Amino acid sequence: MALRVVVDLFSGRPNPGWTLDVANEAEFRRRLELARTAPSRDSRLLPGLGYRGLVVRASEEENAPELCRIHGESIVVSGSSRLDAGRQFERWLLSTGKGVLEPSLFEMVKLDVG
Amino acid sequence: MSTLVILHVFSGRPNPTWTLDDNQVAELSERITGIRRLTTNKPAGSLGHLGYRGFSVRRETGSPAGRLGLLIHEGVVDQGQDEPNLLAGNREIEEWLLLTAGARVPAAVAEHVREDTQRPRTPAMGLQEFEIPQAAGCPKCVAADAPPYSPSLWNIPSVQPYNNCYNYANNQATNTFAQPGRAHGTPATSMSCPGVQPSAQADGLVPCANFATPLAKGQGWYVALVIWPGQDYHWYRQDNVGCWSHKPGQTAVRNYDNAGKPISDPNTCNRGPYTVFCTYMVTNKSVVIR
Repeated sequence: MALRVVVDLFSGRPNPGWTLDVANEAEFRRRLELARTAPSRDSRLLPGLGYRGLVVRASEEENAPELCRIHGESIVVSGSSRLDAGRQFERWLLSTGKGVLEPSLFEMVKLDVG
Repeated sequence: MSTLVILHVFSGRPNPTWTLDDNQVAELSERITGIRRLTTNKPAGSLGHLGYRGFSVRRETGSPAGRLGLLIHEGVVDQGQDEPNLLAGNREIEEWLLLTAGARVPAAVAEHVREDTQRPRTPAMGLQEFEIPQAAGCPKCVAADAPPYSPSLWNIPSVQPYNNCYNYANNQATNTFAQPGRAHGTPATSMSCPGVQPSAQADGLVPCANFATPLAKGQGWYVALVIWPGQDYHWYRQDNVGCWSHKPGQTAVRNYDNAGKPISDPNTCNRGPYTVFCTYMVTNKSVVIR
């Protein structure tokens, strides 16, 4: 089943997202494998409203199991934490949604990720 | 069912375990509820190094006292994925838990743990900490039906991902990620005040000018609608303590704003991109949402 990227962004409406193609899924798994373990900077707490990170789900089904959450140099995978130095992984993952995510939202998140 | 403590210290041997008696459970609860700082850090012991890695405190779901799953290390109390972590600022809980072990932890091991707990906390990457907002300074709540602030009812895996700000404001966990007007065939027409407010009114919510008019029992409680122009809407509710709380999307219920401050008025709090304040409204138990 294809992996789905969800932008954790909205409060009332369902969050927007897209499906990774085969090449991007392979690249996602490669980057995740390379990310080194680090103490967590758990981004669940701040901020509450607005962009809260990118979530990768195990399939396209709504509320499919969460494989990982990436935000602010932290990658949370199954309760453990890995480092996303310079937010490069987050920036790359966001780029896979260009053209799918509404342009104004894409730019807003891009601005946040840097 | 008993409350089990596990000292994470061994690699090859099983870790020492013991149970807390009722008085010790009460004391642990008191110690934890006394912590007023949150942290975005996890206990360093969760990385699994050799030697002392912290204490787990566990109680099964079927227990009359409720499920418990804590990892305590370096002054951080990890309450599991649905609750924020607490920062004690000292190692007293760990030192106290070690005392509850009695002879079940060998003396040399206990000494190793004590040495660790007397060391300064390891500086960690990306540490973020802030105070849990206090109820002090909240406006008076004049709605007799206003719900209490009970995040534990919402921040659980079977509820949290399936309910949004609208569910929470209306105090109805429908598990449908409820949308204004959907239950009455009048969905929001745009992400603006005139686009969302009529949908909420179709569900039975009633707009009002402020949250100062007393509402007798059966008349409901106050909520507030705000808008991220063109993108989304968000709701707050006034709890019976007078301050407001909210549930941003699938995330946990909280009673602080985007600046980490208590919310005395959703019209003036830090709302991130939800810059437009629409209106206060009154909801009640008979409102139907889906």
